[in-house]
Amino acid sequence: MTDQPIIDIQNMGKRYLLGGQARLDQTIPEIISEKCRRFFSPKRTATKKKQPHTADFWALRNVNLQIQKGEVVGIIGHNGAGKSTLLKILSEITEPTEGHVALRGRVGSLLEVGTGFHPELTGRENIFLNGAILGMSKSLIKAKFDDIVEFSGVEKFLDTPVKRYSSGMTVRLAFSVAAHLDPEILIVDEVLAVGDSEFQKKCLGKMQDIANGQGRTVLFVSHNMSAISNLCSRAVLLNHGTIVGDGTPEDIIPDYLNSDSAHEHIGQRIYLSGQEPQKQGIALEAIQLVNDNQMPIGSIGLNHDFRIKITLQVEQETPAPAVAIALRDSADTLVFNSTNHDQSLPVEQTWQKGKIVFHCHIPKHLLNSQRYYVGVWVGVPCEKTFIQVDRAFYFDAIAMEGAERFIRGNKPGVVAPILNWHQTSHSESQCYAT
Amino acid sequence: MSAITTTSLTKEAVSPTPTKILKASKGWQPIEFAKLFQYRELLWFLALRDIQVRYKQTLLGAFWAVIQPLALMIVLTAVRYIMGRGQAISPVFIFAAILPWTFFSSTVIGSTNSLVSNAHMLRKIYFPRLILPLASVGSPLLDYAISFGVLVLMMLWYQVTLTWSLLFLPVLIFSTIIAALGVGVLLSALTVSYRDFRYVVTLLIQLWFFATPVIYSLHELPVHYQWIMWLNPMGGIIEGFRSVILGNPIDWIAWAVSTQVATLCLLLGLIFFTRVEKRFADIV
Repeated sequence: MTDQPIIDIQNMGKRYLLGGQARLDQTIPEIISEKCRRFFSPKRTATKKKQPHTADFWALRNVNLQIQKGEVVGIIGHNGAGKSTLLKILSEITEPTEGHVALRGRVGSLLEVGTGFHPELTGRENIFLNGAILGMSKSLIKAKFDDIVEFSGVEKFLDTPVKRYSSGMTVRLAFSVAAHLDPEILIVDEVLAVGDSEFQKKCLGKMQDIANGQGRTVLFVSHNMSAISNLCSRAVLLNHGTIVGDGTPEDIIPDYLNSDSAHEHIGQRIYLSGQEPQKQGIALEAIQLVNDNQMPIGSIGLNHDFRIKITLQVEQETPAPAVAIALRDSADTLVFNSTNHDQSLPVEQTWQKGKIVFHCHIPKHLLNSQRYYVGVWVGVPCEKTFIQVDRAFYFDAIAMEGAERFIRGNKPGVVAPILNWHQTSHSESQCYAT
Repeated sequence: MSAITTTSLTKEAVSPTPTKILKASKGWQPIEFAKLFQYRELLWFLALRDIQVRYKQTLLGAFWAVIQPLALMIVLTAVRYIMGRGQAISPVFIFAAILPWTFFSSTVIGSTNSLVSNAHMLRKIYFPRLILPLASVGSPLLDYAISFGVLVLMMLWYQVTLTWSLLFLPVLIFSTIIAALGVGVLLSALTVSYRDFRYVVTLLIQLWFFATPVIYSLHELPVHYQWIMWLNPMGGIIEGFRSVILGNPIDWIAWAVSTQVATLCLLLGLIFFTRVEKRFADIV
């Protein structure tokens, strides 16, 4: 076999012209009115100088990366680190601005589940269309048709238009088509963010097969660290467009977690105005740990109830999305997540303009004595994400003084709930008599 | 020298797939016809998708392909009748030209909008971008075929004799495709940067309709000015359609000049498209 890497990235960089794109968003009437305003404004010379000109933004810079055949590489990094841009360049969707990439194999990429699905077409028609879009030949799709259908589990609805599918079914069908691509290099971007956990497991298993069983090269972007460490033999950490770490997942994942800004936030995360994570008129103002008296706290005793308080700002009346929180431990294992739709209680259907505050009550005697990271998510399940902060802040759960410390402190496990035990005794003779 | 050749040979022997280099492309690019051929199945599936979707959830379905040109024909025949001060003109004369015109205009509009309406695909999947405007020929072509059936019925009703020149129909259809793509490919690439061209195309088609011999014949114009109509890519072609159907002698010069102009437009469009297509994913 050759020693040449199957993917060879040399000094690669990608620049976006922010100013240039802003220019495209202006209409001529807007440009004229802006020019007029500037012309008639008294501080004409002053304002003219202030106007920012074309701003360059390097999404990737000086990237050097060699990947050998058969490697399964996880690409990790925070939002905006350049992960998706890297995958887009490798899949030929966009060109690098400088440097070059040598690809020594056929690339199949899945940057988004279900791109090119047409809602009016039936499942069967969409399998062929989507396959062709992903670069499969008709004969290949035909040969794999039964496998695709079986894996997706939508046999009964093959001749139903996809617009009548549930979102979960659409995702399953879309992933099945893509999973049966047969490329030498498979590029996958964060596809596991959708679908239920059972299907996610199935997808991971499929990717494992592709990687291990068939000896293909896989590049995989995910925020899910346990998926990365299970699946990948190598992890690459990106930060602000450059590679800052490259090694085994065991070595690199802690770097990623430590570079997380959640470490600077104890017990609360309050966003400055203008910096809130926001989308479609919903902004996250703050997420805080509070005690029963609504006072913000930085740590919590295991024997106290507490709450997580989420403050949202809504700019206009909107159909109510779901709000969820997630607790993770320091190894990024999900402890639990909880949404405001979990209880079978009526929920408000629309959100009015203004401030909305959610409290999620977490009972005492549930957590273990360790550090927890709190994340928040606002969106429509399986469809849209408005706000997602995986690790907004951390807090320490502390075993309090007294006898409890001996019983509850330092137990193994991510949680240490106090559960009800019930004992019934039967004498031996009775047991065997029946 | 020989050493270099040997290494490159062994490299080829070991790796079955050739190395692909991705880097910034500068200036004019060659048109990748081989790539297009490789993706011909996608072309087919996208055209098929447009066809399958076109009349979904409609009661009349494919009848719409017939109703639209028929209605237009009735109106335009009436207009000609009023303007001609009671001198009637055969509906076949109008209908024979409306069909290729509708084919042309819906292809131009479809291909112009093809890139923007499939923006999500441009951002997430690689394929030769040219496939999208090319695939928009599919459903107008099918509409043409369906409504051509009605034209044949009308020809029988009005006792228009069918002649051998009907055999030139495929050639004329091919010319129409060239003319439509000549405009559509260029406009689709421009629409990616500036959405203005979506409005430009509707205006253009409206004006172009009157500048093309649909409700009048090329030969009704003063002889000295007929050559201007040849420069209109659709001028000679529409006239060709009418001659073929009515069994009149075909004006070969008009057809040839118009097709030449259309081919030139298409070439320019393709060259421009290939130059800018690499940026589509970033700016669409």
